[in-house]
Amino acid sequence: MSNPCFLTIAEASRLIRARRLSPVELTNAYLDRIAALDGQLNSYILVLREQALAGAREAEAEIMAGRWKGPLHGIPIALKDIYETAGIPTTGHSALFRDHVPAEDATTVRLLREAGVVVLGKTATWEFAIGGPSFDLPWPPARNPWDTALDPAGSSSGSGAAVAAGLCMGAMGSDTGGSIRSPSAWNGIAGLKPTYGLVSRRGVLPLSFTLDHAGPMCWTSEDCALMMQTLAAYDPLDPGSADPGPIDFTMASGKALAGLRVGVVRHFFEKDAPAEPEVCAALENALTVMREGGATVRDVTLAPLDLYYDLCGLIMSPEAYAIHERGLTETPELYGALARQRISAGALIKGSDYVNALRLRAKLVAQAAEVMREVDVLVTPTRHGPPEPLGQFDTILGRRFYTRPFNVLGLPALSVCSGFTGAGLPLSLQIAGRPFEDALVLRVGDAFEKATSYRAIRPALKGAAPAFAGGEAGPVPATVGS
Amino acid sequence: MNKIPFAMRLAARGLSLPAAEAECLEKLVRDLDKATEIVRGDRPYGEEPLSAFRLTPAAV
Repeated sequence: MSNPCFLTIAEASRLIRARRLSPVELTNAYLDRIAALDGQLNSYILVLREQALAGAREAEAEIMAGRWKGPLHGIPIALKDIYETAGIPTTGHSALFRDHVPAEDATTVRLLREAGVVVLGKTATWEFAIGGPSFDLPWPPARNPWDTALDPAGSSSGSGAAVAAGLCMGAMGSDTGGSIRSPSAWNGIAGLKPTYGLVSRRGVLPLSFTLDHAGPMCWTSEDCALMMQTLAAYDPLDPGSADPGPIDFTMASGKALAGLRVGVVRHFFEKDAPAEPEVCAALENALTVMREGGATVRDVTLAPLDLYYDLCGLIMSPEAYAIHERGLTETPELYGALARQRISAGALIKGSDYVNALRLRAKLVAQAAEVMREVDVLVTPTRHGPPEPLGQFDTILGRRFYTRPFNVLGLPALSVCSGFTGAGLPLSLQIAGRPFEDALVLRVGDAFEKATSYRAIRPALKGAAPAFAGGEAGPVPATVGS
Repeated sequence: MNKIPFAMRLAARGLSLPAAEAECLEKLVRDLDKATEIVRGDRPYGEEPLSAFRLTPAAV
């Protein structure tokens, strides 16, 4: 077998169930790889070596005794360090929470543990999922495995970098304005922001109550679906939790695109905030793949991107400030500069402006629902361009990406890798769906990934094993349309 | 646009940031102030905000 750290969850799960792959050996392989390579990436801020090995031994004993729990049993994953973990520090990547040790697991962590995952550690994040790639915090920012001089994007930066680099098989992220999908885009992986309310946020350090989403980040859409089968559960302890009934996240066997109606929100990336040419070329290539798979493609119109951006800011800022008011007025020195600035801005929003933003939000939700009577999914790029140099956050902050509309609307939205630049950097495609049609969104992502060869390419790190994905996959040219 | 000097607005909220950060914060706030213009103005009197406030029947 090639490096087990490059297996997908689906591949590893089949081997584990057949007792051809040991969870203990798999966990050891990841721990060794983290020790050897994460000094280049800083994707983890805490590695739970002993707990992970204990969990792997327990999983192995259960499987050997015939008590296989399901596809996540014995699978090594990582948690963004805003997910509360009982008895284990949960810092939010902030000095303010350096000594915060929760008494309970977040609901999602509990569900994953019950499904038998092995938790390798806690991953780097922008401070409290908002700050930015900061250098004035107790831990350094994560770096991009495709080029360590580049930004992995955020705020789930460590989760994205770790998945791409083969330092975990899957990870949890959170997404308030794009924080799962942006690092998925810039690390070349798959990441789902589920429908608002489908995955519990209980025990995830909050940023913005009406915009926060918890979700999976994996190498493939299929792996995200395997995690969602466990994560999608009503939680009475999360006031935003929804109960749409059971959802089957099983992937279709190559037929997800047949008859699919695809709406392209072209004005987002051609007029409102033009994307770079390579991004647009990758998107057109993706549309060709979808047509060849039997989909029909048409352009659709939503509200201007700026309107979603403005609303997102007017809602997120005061909600975040409400959470951090005490910290920012009593111990502002414990925040990094970027988080201090970004959250403080919410102090100056009038209550009436916040409420009116929520009123306008309701109209946008209704408008999008009308558009989605005519199409099954919406597509855009995720980011306007490939990864940019780490530390140029002031420039990035002023940009418009294509993620925020789906936080405002609460719709499920997936980012997948749509190819590579001539320099070998990942490009992105975003697929959004109707409320609670997360499984369809993932099936479309899965069909696209299986119709292309981009999942065969892994980033190459100094001193690492060959940088090609699992089993039979071989190298393919790192260019758009390959 | 808000006519109150930025430093006064911050002080009124009990916030004091290092001077080096004030420029960036002021830019962020300026963008938000501009954004508020789109949500102000006439609205239907009874137009409700999107809210997560939902009650469920008490368990018997």
